[in-house]
Formats: sequence, structure tokens, C-alpha cells
Amino acid sequence: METAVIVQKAERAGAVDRVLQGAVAALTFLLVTVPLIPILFQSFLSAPLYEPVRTLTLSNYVRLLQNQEFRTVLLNTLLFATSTTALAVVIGVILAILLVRTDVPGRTYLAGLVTSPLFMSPLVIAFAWTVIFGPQGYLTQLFRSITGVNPWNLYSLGGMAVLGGVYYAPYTYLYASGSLALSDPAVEDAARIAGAGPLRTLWRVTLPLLRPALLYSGLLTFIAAAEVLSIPLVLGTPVGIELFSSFLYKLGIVGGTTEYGMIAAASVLMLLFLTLLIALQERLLGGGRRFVTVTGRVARARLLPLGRIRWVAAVWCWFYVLLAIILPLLGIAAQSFTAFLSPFMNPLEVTTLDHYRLIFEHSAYARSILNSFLIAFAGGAIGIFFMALITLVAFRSDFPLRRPLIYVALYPRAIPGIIVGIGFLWSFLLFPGLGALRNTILGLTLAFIMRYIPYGFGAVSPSVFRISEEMDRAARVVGASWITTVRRILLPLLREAIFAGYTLLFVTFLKEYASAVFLFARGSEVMGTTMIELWRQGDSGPVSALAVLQVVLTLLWLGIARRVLVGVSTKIRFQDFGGVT
Amino acid sequence: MGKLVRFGIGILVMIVVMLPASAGPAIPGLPAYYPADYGRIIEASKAEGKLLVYSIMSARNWAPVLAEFKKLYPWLDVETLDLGSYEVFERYYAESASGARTADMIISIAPDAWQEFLQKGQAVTYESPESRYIPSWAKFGKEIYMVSADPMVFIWNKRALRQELWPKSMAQLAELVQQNPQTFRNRLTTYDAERVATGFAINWFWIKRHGERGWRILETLARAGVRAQSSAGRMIDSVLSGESVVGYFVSTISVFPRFPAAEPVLGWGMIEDGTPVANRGMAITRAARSPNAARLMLDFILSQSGQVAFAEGGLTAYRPDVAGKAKHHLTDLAKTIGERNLIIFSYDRDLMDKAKREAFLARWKKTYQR
Repeated sequence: METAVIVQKAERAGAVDRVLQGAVAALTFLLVTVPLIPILFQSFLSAPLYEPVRTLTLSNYVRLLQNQEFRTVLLNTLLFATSTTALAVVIGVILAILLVRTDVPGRTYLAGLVTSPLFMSPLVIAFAWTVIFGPQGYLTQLFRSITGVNPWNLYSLGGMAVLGGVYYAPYTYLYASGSLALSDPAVEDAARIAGAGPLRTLWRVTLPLLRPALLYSGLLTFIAAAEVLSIPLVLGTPVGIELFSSFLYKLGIVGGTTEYGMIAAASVLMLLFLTLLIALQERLLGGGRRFVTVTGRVARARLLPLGRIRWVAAVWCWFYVLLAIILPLLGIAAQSFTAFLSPFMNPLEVTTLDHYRLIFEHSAYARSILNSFLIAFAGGAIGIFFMALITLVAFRSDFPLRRPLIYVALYPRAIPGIIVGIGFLWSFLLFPGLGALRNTILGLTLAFIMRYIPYGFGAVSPSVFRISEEMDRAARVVGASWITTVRRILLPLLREAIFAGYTLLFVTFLKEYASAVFLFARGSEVMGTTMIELWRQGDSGPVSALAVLQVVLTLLWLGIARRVLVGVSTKIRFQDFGGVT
Repeated sequence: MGKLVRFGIGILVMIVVMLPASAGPAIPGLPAYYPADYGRIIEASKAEGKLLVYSIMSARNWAPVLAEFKKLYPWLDVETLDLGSYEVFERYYAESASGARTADMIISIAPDAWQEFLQKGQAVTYESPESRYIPSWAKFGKEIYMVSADPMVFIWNKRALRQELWPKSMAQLAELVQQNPQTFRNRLTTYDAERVATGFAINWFWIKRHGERGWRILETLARAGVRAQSSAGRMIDSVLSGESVVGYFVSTISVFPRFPAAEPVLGWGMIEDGTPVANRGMAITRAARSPNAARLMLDFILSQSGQVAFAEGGLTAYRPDVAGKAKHHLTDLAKTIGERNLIIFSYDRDLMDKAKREAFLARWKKTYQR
């Protein structure tokens, strides 16, 4: 009786605790909403929001919906996202089944390679694909010289969807393989005993069990594909195919007149659409748990013997990895070391370090590497600390608004990167106190942190659940405040999860470009924006050099992180995160 | 005592600095014809420290210019942002309206965007001391000066094309294409006039010179299948790879830096029946925070050493008194085809007429079946 009172009293937060919790919640709320306000506001304005004379109007929406080009863009985006999702899910699930449930030779290497696109910027992958599969690509030329016809057209909606399918297949792969690793082999055994062959077992038992994982990852892919900028920018714009993000990019950056109203109206419509999808995903996840409970036991699943087919499967897997990932990356590396690539000349005769020299000698290009690194290194650290605090306020405090905080923290999943950039840019223009952040890497860091709160949240929260609440309770009983409990008990216990989250944020910030294209200026450029800048000049050599540098930096960092994480059970989990572009 | 000595030295230094200025010529490193009070601009630039230029040129093009400029004015940090032909203006409008730091100087090609810029009163009047050393067409109004005059030329693949098939004029290329349909089928490339301001201007001025005859030539080429690209870099890559064999109206600013590496494969030449020449304009902006530094840069670009330096970076100098000295010079390039076959872009009033622009673009798209 007495103790219960003490515990209750102790668990009530002190004033200082409330201030900190309130500050974390308020900061999260501001970070997510402040960039959205000017977009909503602008969408009803007759002139750019910085102009002194402007009136409220609905005409932006009317004009947008009457705009033939916008309708084409929507249709293209829908087609692209649908076919990308279909391809990604099919590729991902085949790879997951082969690499997790069967005895395909070389499974461990393949698993690593298959997920590697997640660590790379889609911009890099898109450039790499053009080197191999583009109209002047290695393989395209080889094929043409043998058959005399153009074998495929990468610069088309179909080509873009294939690249999208490959880039996003790791989502499905990770979800499906996670689900497969957990599923109870007894169910499959039962099917085999009942007389079903391996293929029938796969089709009737394994695949249906994967349904929630596929639905969830499929939606994730769809959202990511609907908002991706790099793929339409690199493969679509040269031939005039625009998707949603590249359309905004064109309206806002390339076009003859800046259509602020149209940009805002299009952004608002896209936000509504994605919010609906996210809500749907939320519901599906809720339903998904029903399937997961089937598998309480974690028994090491027995591998399905494929017999001789396993060699066919292995060849298929390696062929896929070679074509989709290894060759393009080798190609872009080759391009970065040669003056130009032409079948009429031996590339070894034109090897050069000029592209790298250009990057390092020109201050703006070199600085973009430094800026990316700084934002990833320091911004990532600040970001993950902040995100861990959000998680703790959300799940380990009695802060009255902790439920809404979770929704706010996860909402950036519905905001396309390019809209994050526009929103921050405009809020720097609109709100007087924020003007100083404009064109600074601090402004960029804020945008990156906002965009990836769901990442940090997802990286830390599973570990938070794993810490028994008795720990906090014990601390509180002996009189510790909430802050002390967090500082002395929870954060130390979460060390590994936080470090894993930091690694993830570092890699993500290093490759981020979509939210930066509207925000960067001289002095605050990042690797992604410099690549786009060079690419628009048609300067493919330096673009590849920068792409290679980005991949190398990422690999170095992952290598270091892996060394630090050795012996630690926490792995970098991508499953828990929202859309990646 | 020490103070007094230092004061004395200070006065002496001031006199030494002022003397040549008041005497007229000879500010160190500058030509003698610069006005006496030019030193004041230089002095004022010291407080500015930084110069921001929005241009459409790459770091490669800028490098030699920035190196020379730094020697003259070591206290100035020049930042160049490489953007699209329209983007340089749009970005400036948005930033200047909100009071943010923006470009002190803009360099772009788009003639229509320049006219709008003038109409909005955003370009600052400036009389450069170099003014009388440049041709009259290189200056527009009291605000815009030309950086360079870059020819839009032929390129071709020497290995994929027999020498007698190398293009010399558009009319001859049209004939070659008709006589050798197999060789040229889908293997021509040029600028996309719809998406690229430069591409639009090239076609506009070329047709302005040739009229219906010009359209017929373009139609013949279009029938063979032309790949319209959004940058000269991609056209060159396409020709180097053999995907295309001939590119027409390709900007030399991208072609020149490919040499000598690409020499064994890549050929280039002026277009005998009319080589479009882009006039790359520059102006100091109304919202400039470093107007003096911008003046120094403008004068330097027009100066002999500035012209030579930009030519080193791949642009084509036009200032008459550096002909033969600059690596690429319009006069030298014009020798093979004659000055009258240069089609230098002008500030055509018709370009501001939206209806005329759209009609032209519609015909261009119809011609190329786009």
C-alpha cells in the first residue's frame, strides 16, 4: 500500500523533466510542421510568398488540375510506381526465398550484394546504369554491334521502372527474408508430409505466409517510387518524361518562370495522397501482427533442398547481381578514370586522373564532399541523439502528448524529399527569425534530420521495447528523476541501438540529395547536388568520380562501424524504416 | 616617437598610392587606359571580400579566369554557381526579393530572359573602361556585355564516317543524309530546342537567317531521325560512342575541352552556311552586395588577359586585339567560312513575343515529329 503510493509519486515527472519532455515534443512538432505551413499557405496565394502584393485564391489548384502536363505527370508517376512496385516485389521475394529458404550456393555473399543498393544513393545507381545500359552504354553498344539493333531503351518509362524495381527490391527482400527466417518450418514440413512437392509448398504455404510482409514492403516501395527524384531526373528528363518530383524540380529550378503557386498546390495534393497511403500502411501493419503471432518459436528453419535446380538458381542470382549492381558500379568506376569511353578507342589509352583532379581542385566541388561528411558526421550524431530522446519521451514517459508525438515523429515518411526542401526554403523566406538559416549547412542538416526522424525512431524503438520497464521503475523508486533515469539507465542500455542508428543516419545523410536541391547554395553544396550540377552540364567524367568517392566513403564508414559493432547483437536494421530515396 | 614614425610612413604610403592614380595611368597590373579613379573601385572591393556569380559555365571553364583574377585581386574570393540559362535569373529573383544574399553578377545566354531582366530594372548600368575595345554587337544597352562568342558547330565521328561524309554545311549534310540513308539513319544529334534555352536560340536565329529554305533542310535531317539532347556533353558522348555519327549546332564550349584526348575519334568544324554564335551576356545585378568586385570582374573578363584566360577554359574570345593570342578566337574561327556566315545572336524584339515563340516552337516540334 505504502510502496504503491511512493512509486506513483516517484513516477510523476518533476518540473525539469516536463520541460525537457515538452521541449523534445515541441521541437519535433515544429521541425515537422514549420516547413509544411508555407507550402499550404503558398498554395492559396496568387503570387510568390515573398512578393508584397498577393491575394488568397483557389486558382493554383484550378490551373494545376487543368494543366495537361500535370495530368500526364500524374499518370506517368502512377504507371512508374505501380510497375516498379510489381517488379521490386517479384525480384525481392524470389531472392528472399532462394537465399533464406533454399540451399543456393554462395547465399551469404549474395545476400550482402543484393541489399547493397540501400547503402548507395539512387543518383549513383542511376548514373551507373546509364554507363552500362544507356543509349551509349557498354552493354548496349556490345549488343548493338552484334545484332545491329538497339536492344532496349533505358530512357523510357519501362527502363526507369526496371531500374526502380532493382533499386527497391531490397525492401521486399529484407521484409520477406525477416518473415521467412521467423516462420515455423513445421508448417512447411506438414505440407511436405501431406504430399506437396517443394514448388507447391512454396506456392501454397510459404508465399501466403509472406503476404503481410509483401503488402507492407510493396506499399513502402510504392511510396518511395512515387516520390523518387533521381531516376526520372537522370533517365526521364533527357527524353521529356517527367514524374512528380522531377516535375517539381523543373517547375521550381529549370523552368523559365517560377510557378510558386503550382508547385505548392501540387505538393499539397501529393502530401494528401501519401498521407492516405501511410495511413493504409499503418492499418496493414496492425493486421500483419496476426500472422506474426503464428510463429512464437524461433527454430532454425531447415533449408529446402533444391537438388540440381540450385545451380540454375545460383546462376540466375549471380547473373542478376552482376547485371544490376556489379557491372554498373564497375562501369562508373571505369568512366571516372578515363577521358571518355568509346568503342573506337582502347580505354587504357585514355586513362586519366583529371576528373578527380577537377573535383579536388575546384573549391566548390571539394567543399561539397566536406559538407556531406560534416552533415553526416555531426548532423547524424545530433540527429540520432534527438531521435532517441523522441523515442524515450514517446514510450518511456508519462508525457500527456506522447501518443500524438509518435504520429508526428513518423509523419515525415509521407513527405517527399523535394517537398521537404521546398518547405524549408520557403519557411526560411517566410518566418523572419529563420532567414539566417538560409543557404547554410545548418539549414540543410535540419531538413535532413526532419526527413529521417522515422529512421532514428525505427532504429531505436525496438531496443527500447526490449528493456524491461522494471529498470526505470527501480530507478524512480530510489528517487531518480526522469532525466536521471534516461541519462543513467536508458541511454547507456540503448548504446548499441543508438550507434547502429548513427551508422544508418551517417550513410543516409551522406547520400541525401532530394531535400537539398532547393536548399543548397554556394558554400552549402553537398555531394548529391554537385553531381546533379555536373550532370546537367553533361560532364559525365567528374560525375562518376564523385559517385565513386561517395561509394568509397560509405564503404569505409560501414567498415569502421562493423568493426566497432563486432560482438554486438544489434544489427543495422532497415526493416523498421520508412521510405528511402 | 614610434607612433609618429608609423603615422609618417602611413602618409607616405598614401601619397605613393594616390600619386599614380591622380597622375592618370599605371595602376599595377592594369592597362594604362583605365581611368584615374579606378583605384577607388579597387579600394572599395577590399571591404566586400567576396564575389558571387551565377553562371552557366562549369568549373573547368572558369578555372583559368579565376586563377588570373586572383593574381590581380588576391583579397577577393570568387564563388561561381553553375546553373541553367533561366535558373540563374529565377534564383536571383527569389533571393533578391526576400533580401537574401544573391548573385552580384549573372552570366547567361537566354536572350528572352535577359530582356525580362532589363525590363525589371535588375541590371545595373556600367561603363566599362574596356568598352571601346570590343565590337558594338558585344554590348547591349548600358548594362549587358558579352563574355564570349561561342560558335555552335558540327562534330562527327572520324572512325565511323568516311572522310567524304564529313559535314561542311547544313545544305551539304542534308544531301549526304539523302544519299546515304543507311549510314545516317537515327545517327544525327542536336540540341533540344524545347527544353534548352540555347537550343531554342540556335534554331531561332538560324531560321531567321535562312527562312523556309532552312526549315526544308531541318526537315530533311529530321526525316533521317535526329536525337535531340539536353546538353552538348551528351551529344559529344553520343558521337564518341558511335551511337550518332554527326552532331550539328554543338556548343564549342563543350567540344574544345575534349581535345586533344578525343582527337583520334572526334572531328569538328564550322558550319559554312551559317554557324550560330551564342553571345554569352553578363551584367551586374541591382541586389549585388559586392558591386565593386563585380565591376572588377566584368572589366577583367573583357580585358585582354580575361579573354585569353576564358579561351584557355574552352570559351571563344571575340575581342579583336587578342586574335591570334587567345587559344580560341572568333576571328580565327571565322576565317574558314567568312565573317558573314557567323550568325551572332542578337536581342531580337520578337523573342519577347510569347505568341511568336510558341508558334516557332510548334513548328520546330512538328519538323522533328516530337
